Amino acid sequence: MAVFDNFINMYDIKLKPRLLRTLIKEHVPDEKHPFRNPSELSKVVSMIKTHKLLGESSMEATDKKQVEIWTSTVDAWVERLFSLVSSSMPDKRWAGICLLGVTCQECSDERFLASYSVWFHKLLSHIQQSPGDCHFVKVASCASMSDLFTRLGGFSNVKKEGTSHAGKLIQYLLQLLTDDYSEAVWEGAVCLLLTIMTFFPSSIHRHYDSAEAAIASKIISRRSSVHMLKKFSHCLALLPKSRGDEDSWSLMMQKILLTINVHLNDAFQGLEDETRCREAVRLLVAPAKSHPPPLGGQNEASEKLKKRSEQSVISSISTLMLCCSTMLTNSYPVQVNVPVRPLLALIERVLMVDGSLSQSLLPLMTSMQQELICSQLPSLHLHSLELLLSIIKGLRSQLLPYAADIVRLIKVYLKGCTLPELRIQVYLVIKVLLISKGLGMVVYFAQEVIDNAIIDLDSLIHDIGNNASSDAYRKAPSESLLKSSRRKRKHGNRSGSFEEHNDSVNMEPEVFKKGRTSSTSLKIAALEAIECLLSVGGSLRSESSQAGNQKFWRSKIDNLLMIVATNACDGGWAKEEKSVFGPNEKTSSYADLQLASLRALLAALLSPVVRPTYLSQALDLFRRGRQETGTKLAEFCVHALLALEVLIHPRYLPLVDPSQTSINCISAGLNFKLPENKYSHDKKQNPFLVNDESWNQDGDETDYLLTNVEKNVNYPENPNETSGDPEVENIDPTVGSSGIKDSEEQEQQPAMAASDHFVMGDNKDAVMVDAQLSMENSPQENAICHSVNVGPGRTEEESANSEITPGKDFRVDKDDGLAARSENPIIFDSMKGKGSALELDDEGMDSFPDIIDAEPDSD
Amino acid sequence: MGREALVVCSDKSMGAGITVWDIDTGDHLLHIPTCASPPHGFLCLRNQVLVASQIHKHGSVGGGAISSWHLRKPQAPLRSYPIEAIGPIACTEDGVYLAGGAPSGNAYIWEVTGGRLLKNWSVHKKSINCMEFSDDSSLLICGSDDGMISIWSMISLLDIADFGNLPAPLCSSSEHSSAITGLLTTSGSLSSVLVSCSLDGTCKIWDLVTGTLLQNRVFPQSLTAIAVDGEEQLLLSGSADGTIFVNLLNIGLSKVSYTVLQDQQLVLNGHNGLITAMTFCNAGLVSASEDCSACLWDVVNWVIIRRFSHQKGPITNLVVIPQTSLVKQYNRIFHVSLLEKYPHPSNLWKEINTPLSPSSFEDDHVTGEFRSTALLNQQILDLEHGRTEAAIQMKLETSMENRLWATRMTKHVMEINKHLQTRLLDLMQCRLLRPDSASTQMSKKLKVEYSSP
Repeated sequence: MAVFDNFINMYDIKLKPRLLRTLIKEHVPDEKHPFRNPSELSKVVSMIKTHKLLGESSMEATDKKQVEIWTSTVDAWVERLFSLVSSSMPDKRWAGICLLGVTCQECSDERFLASYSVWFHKLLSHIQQSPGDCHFVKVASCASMSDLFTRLGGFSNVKKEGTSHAGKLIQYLLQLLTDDYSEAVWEGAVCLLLTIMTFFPSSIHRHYDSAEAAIASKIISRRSSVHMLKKFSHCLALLPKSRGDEDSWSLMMQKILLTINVHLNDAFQGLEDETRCREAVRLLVAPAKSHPPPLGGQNEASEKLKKRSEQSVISSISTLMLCCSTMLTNSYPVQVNVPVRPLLALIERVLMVDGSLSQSLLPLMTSMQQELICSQLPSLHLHSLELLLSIIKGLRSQLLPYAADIVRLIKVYLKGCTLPELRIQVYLVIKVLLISKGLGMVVYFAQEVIDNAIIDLDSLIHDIGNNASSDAYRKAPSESLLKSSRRKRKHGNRSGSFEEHNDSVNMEPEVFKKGRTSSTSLKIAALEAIECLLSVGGSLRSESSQAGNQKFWRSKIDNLLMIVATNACDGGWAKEEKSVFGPNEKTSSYADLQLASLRALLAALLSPVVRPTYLSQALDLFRRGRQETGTKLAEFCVHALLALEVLIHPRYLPLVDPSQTSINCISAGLNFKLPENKYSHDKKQNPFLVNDESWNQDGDETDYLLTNVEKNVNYPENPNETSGDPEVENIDPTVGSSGIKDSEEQEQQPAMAASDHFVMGDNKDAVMVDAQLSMENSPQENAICHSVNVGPGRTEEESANSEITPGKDFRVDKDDGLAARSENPIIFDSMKGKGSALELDDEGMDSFPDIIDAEPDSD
Repeated sequence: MGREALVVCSDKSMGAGITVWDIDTGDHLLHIPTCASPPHGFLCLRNQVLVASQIHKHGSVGGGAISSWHLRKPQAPLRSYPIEAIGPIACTEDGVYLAGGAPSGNAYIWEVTGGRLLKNWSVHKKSINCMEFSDDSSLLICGSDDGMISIWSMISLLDIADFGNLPAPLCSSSEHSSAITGLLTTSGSLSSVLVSCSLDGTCKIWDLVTGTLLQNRVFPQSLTAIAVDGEEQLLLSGSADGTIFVNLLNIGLSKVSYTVLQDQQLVLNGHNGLITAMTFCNAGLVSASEDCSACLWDVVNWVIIRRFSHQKGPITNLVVIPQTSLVKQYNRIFHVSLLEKYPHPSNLWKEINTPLSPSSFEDDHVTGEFRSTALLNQQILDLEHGRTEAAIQMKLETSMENRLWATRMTKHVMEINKHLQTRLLDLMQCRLLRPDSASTQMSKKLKVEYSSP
């Protein structure tokens, strides 16, 4: 190759074989030289992946010669790998196997299909029982083999070959699992098994029982780590898929549940009534039927059990529960019979054990045993809650007959549950229940959720005195909040309502520092539950309660959320830090809490019972949050402001998009017809005016302003004034003037003059209409425009005659509109005047606070 | 948006059957024989199964039946025979539960897949006229012949713990003075409202949860059917004389009662007989009437686009389904069982037969992740730091291999050395014994030795 044979750029196809050759020459180990630096390999892999060096073809590859060069280079690469794989040095073998795995992912489809069989056998020889291979190499072979099957699974035309190849592999894999290897090898083998189960499930069919035995013994034996147990449980859960029939699934579920219950009998001895454990088994096995064979098929498993420590029993139970969850949430090719009753009984059985000794059986357990079991119980509870969640997910609406049962269970459980991790999980369950079961569930659950959330948010509500937020709290929230807390100050009992707490805080803040402060993630979970409650059941107005204490939950929650959000966000915005250390640890930062509180606040604002009193404070929060460039919080605040826009300026959307000539939207269609009533009826009857009433209730003001306007603008009492309406001008000035010409030519000059006058005189107002995003008065203006444009008085015959051209149509309707209007000029004027009047009224003021302050009073 | 089909049936006689038309062209697509269902007694589950309640009019024993047809193979209906004849039926959004109301005022709830009768109880004293599930399927609303409306929570209805007990409604009202003819709920959790219409000529809008009356609209005619459009902007009320009134559905208003005046609404005159059912579809509004016809209306100009005439009798029910339902091969066929006649409390505790995570994706679409790269990086780390047993093992084996190799090499070198030594000795011997020819021989020998290895 010439020294100056340069490339066009880094995308040049010529570069790729050259790079690959360099890699082969300099970075990939070979037979002759010792392999010193394994990290070289990682560079090689990243180079291959970035530049797609094994792709062998590219979009612009028209040059045949270049492609040939590339192909031969890849051939050389594969040859080198082969020599490495069969090398006598373990490290070179390892390198070769790893790179072969990468090749499986990266090479071209043609090459893969042509040579996967060869590669399979190369890798297989390392997975097979060969004493020479060290574990490291075995693990790498499993991973590479898994990649090979993953890639193979993507081709639908080689399913059969894939299955037969996988079938050859299974027995060696199961051998790996049963033999006494290190955990890394087991993990590799299980992952490979999972891959095969996912892509070629039928290949396991023949080895079903031995696979079940191998995996089950791993779960029941005490020697695996939690991480591995998870993988084993997943594998066991997927196993029935290889048969794909209803019975395998049910049998597996039954076996697992029986095993769990047998284990529980051991673990819970002395902690629960004997009847409960008998009941659990009775539910599982129908009286007439015989017990199914134990899980894994070996009887000695249960014998071994007796000797083992409590700790490993509990970890096996957790693993098996996880397995049930996976079975319930993964898809299955046919419908299955889910034993809901035993599953729920199991969950209830576990959740009802809190480590206290049952009265009758006191002497059976030593304190050490109790200590042991109590240390393990939280994880067991967590897993049963997870299982509950999976049941809800898996059964969807078919769970409905059991929903009331579950709610009762959770209500009882929440009373005693104090550990934050468990409460978070319960909140999660509640959330899913609320969303899936809708309004009916809210009726059941609202009070429970709120009471518990208030307890968990307690420290946030009283987050006063630590920083400046104390002052801000007193000033910031709206009058009503302060009022409520002042009112309550008289009686200082602290029985649960936050307002009462609030009070005592003002008097004795230090009391609450001693109180329970819940973790950030628990607060977030509580806030999320409330958010969910509000979004699902926001329509549950305060008067909806049946019981007296339920009465004011809505207003209570609204106030609560405002206080929480204010307190959470008042100290400034927390940084969204991503911790570099300990990425596995799931922690929630204060920024997440702020976000959660704002989310809940938005839900409260968007599901209003009345116009929220604290809207301006909330908007202020969102606006401030928007400044935090580049954070999730800012992103959410922008969304919140967008969503609240409708609430701030309630209005009808413009009925017709003036830029669109063809209208096919349903409501637009109707509105062509409906506005006619506007002119002929009292405005109380007019659906389009109702919105307006809330803004301007007394007609006196309107009259006064009307005269005012007339004085100011010198409005001419003739129908052509519409042409002076800036909005009409906006829509189509040329058509408008032509309409005038057509209708009343002799009045054209004065009318134009008048309209000029109007526009000039009212210029400021007109501008303001635009500036205020055509607030509440725009619907009428629009309605007028449209009625003028297309016509209110369109009769049946006209609508039947849909062939009228737009221009013609307009003229006809224009006349109609004018006629209709001249019948009722006063009403039109009052409306017109009101539109202007509002503008005049708002002049020089910020329109927005005006609305907020005015609204509660006018209600 | 795919093409849609209009499915109608009549209550005239079992011979009328079910007729399916292409809504866009008016072509007759399918006729399913033997069906006669009363108003509100016809629906389509998940767009796959048609369900119709049947009232045998003349001389039948044991009331009626509920029939269901898989649209894929409509030749084989499944006929269940409840204790008494069922009039109106309703199903939840996901097609899991089917509710039916009887003229006696009793109501029944079945689980469709297993056919289990989950609940039967007495709802009203008079005949149940229509039933409707709320938008999230959590509430069931029943309307009766004497104007009673009751709202029930599904969770408490189906609560197996108090199976035998008589449930209490969430709320009920008797504001209507005559038979309820139509019920519908709007979507959305914030403004869940119930709209009811009645023969007393009023249309009432209720808060769904509390049962408070929000609006009362008075019409000049007895109302027989209602519908809202997809945007929930328009409320259409069909009346007994065949006119349809179009109003804006303004829910958020505080007005409690008003009379709807003629000119505040659009009046559609297209039918000569009582309007029995209306629904919105992609093409517009479909209305059905006792005048043996169904009309498709253009919703912009409010003109009739197409008239479907049903010679077999007055149309009592209509549903609109996507045409793909008639041909589509579903990945999982929605399973419908024979509905139980009597409740079996023991059956309630049985397993639930369910499809697990029925996703719309085919099972072929599983995606796996490649593992070797991540593993490689981890193993490199392991190797460099000697963290795991396996890494140390491999290092050990590597160095053992290296040592073996070194030993082999040493042996080899030593052999060569030995060989050379003997050669040298030979050479020296030659030189000493025959010094004369030594010089020439040596040079030859050396040449030979150099070339040989």
